[in-house]
Amino acid sequence: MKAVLALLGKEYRLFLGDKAAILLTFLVPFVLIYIFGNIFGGSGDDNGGIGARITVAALNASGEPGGDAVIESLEAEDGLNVLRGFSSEDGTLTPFTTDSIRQGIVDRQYNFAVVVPEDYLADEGIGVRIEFISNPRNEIESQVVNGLVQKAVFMKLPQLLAPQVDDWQEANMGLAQTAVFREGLAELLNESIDDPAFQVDPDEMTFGALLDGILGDDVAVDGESGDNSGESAGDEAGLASVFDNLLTIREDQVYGKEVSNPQLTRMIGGYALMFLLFATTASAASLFEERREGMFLRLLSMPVKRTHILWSKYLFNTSLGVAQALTLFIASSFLFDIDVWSHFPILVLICVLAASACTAFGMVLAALCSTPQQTQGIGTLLILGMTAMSGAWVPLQWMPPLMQAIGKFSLVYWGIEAFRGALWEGLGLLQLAWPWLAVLVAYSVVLLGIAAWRFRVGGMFR
Amino acid sequence: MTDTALAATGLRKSFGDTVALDGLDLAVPKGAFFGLLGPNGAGKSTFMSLVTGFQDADDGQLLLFGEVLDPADTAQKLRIGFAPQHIALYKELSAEANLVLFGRLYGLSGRGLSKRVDAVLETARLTDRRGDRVKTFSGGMMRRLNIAAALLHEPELLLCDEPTVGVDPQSRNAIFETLLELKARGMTVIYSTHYMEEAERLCDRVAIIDHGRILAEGDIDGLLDGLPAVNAVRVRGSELEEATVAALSQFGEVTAGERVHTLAPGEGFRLSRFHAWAEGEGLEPRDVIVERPTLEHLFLQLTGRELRE
Ligand SMILES: Nc1ncnc2c1ncn2[C@@H]1O[C@H](COP(=O)(O)OP(=O)(O)O)[C@@H](O)[C@H]1O
Ligand SMILES: [Mg+2]
Repeated sequence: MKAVLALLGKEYRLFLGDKAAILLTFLVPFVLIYIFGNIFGGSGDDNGGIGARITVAALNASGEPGGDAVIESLEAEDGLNVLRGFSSEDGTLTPFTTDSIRQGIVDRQYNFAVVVPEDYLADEGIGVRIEFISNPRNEIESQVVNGLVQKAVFMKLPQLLAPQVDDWQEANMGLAQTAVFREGLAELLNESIDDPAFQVDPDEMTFGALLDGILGDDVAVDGESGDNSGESAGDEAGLASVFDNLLTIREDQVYGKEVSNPQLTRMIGGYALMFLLFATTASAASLFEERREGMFLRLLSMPVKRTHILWSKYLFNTSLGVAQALTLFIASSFLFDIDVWSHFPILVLICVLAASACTAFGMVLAALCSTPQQTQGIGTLLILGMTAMSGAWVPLQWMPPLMQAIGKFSLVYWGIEAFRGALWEGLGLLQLAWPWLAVLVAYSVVLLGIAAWRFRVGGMFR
Repeated sequence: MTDTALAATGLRKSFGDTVALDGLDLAVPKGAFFGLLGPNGAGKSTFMSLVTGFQDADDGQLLLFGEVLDPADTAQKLRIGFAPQHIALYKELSAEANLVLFGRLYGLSGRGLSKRVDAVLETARLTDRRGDRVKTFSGGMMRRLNIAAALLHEPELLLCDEPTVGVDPQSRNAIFETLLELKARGMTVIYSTHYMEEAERLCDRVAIIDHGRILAEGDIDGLLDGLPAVNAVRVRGSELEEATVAALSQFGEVTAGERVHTLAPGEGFRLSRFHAWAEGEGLEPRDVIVERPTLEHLFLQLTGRELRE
């Protein structure tokens, strides 16, 4: 034990004597999380959308209010930046035309355009046709815009369909019948509401006009409009609720509701692990340096055992890994508002266990390889493979079942799940202990065992 | 009690197909300054790595002060000091920090440790550079520190593996003085080298090793006694008469050079007879140079002249 401490002290002395190494040790996690954080999740106030807004050109060629409503609801989306026309240098806006809006994509000014065409209504029956023009050079962006356009169209479907419903009524009931119906309806409304201030004309009794009256100008129909908890404060509101109630999705998010930067919170554990693996593999490769210098020849001529050298390396690399991982998390707290502090003790514990397992991984690599270059090369391959298959880059659920199954064998998977459990679900020690933390401990033990055995019989100390 | 510090019998060690030690037998008496002489690749370092427990022998036995050597035995390790062939120091640390670390590993601490650090720094003549990083040292200073680190725990047996490689003459002398001082204090030293003049100057016993075997072992005088008393005779003079040269060949094989004729003495060569003859031929005494055999001659005779590695 005294030998281990003496060797450990030497490691710290060497480390502290190298100002550049110290700087890098703490700067690298900072820079990494700065870069990764900006890729995903941005500054933390948007709720998990893509960092920058996607530009979408929009044109209502029909002139119908329903078409404007669709574009307005696209404009209300946080993730989209909606253009209505080409703006010139002096700030004047030239509205799109059906030709120019397409040309904008050809000229690569934007990648997406939504057009409500002049003839957007189906010729027969009820239906609408919206044009979505795109240059889908980015798969994820396309999916996002597509989804948002569909959402806007569905939300505005009643308004979009209003002219068609009125035409359909006139065509099926005949003009005379329709007039009688609208007169009767107006009379009925005026009588039943029985308020001199409320008077409607029969020509306000078209479906489109009714919708306008009901919805008003400033009531947005969108996903969150189902705010019907209060009493219906009158028939006008009651009518509005007819449409609102058509589809209400009540969201009940069990976990992560208060998480300020969900995207990065979900991902950061993966970055931390990938970083730990690279860092600890690099430091394990330093064993070769000492071997080259003939240091082991001297150390082992002293009352020092191979295991003493291994333990001192293990303790040093693990402690450095913990410091670096914590730097990464603390940096993410300052830069991206990741809530690190309310889970800090358990986070430290996971960092210790993850750093330990990663260090052991690096040492096994060094023990199995015969040169530092081999260690780095094979290490890089394994680390990238493991992190990719463990849900560090893309959710595990998106991968083929075989890959998912393989991914679950890697220590990265268990590390990521543990970090997510702490930061996302806010789980504590008891909930995380089994199986996540236990698996990390098991990885450390098994890998260290392999490393110790390989170092005993292998070439590192010969 | 035994008078042998280290005894090896039938030591074997191979690395794959390379046989590094091929049944090596060796006995190093206590208090000896023992030279292990051999060309590159002879097995000197391998032998030392078996003694220090870095490698395990494939076969054979090593006795340290009469006890079977056990690499796991801490007490035994404390009796051995080892200065490796390559400078094994943390170059980013100061001389003192290196010595403090190694001292701790030898189980020293507190005042005992700092006294020993001071002492070996003095021995290595590095007291005034103790706080400097080793990487700022010259080759000779590193060598001296490399040996000093092996002396911290006052071992009874010191192994020095080629300690003067890449060292300036001043440092070499300092190293020699240090080692002779240690020997005077009763330490047993095993010193590996391929510089014969070093061995002649320092060692009272040598073993010549090649291909993992001991080819000759004994005190230097005894080993040289086994050689002819005269190694070669050189006769100076560019205008030796042909008859003289012909007469010269009665004593052995003559090689003619531009200014010098070299005579390799033949069977039954007697120096007195040669001198008598030379006087008769009218050769000046200062033109006749008699070369005595050296360790180098023995070494080359035993290990051959072909190039190594
Ligand atoms: N670790 C090793 N692996 C493979 N071969 C080795 C190793 N150590 C020594 N050898 C080989 O063993 C032989 C003896 O080497 P060594 O003991 O270093 O010689 P010396 O020290 O006398 O120059 C050489 O042929 C050398 O190449
Ligand atoms: Mg050698």
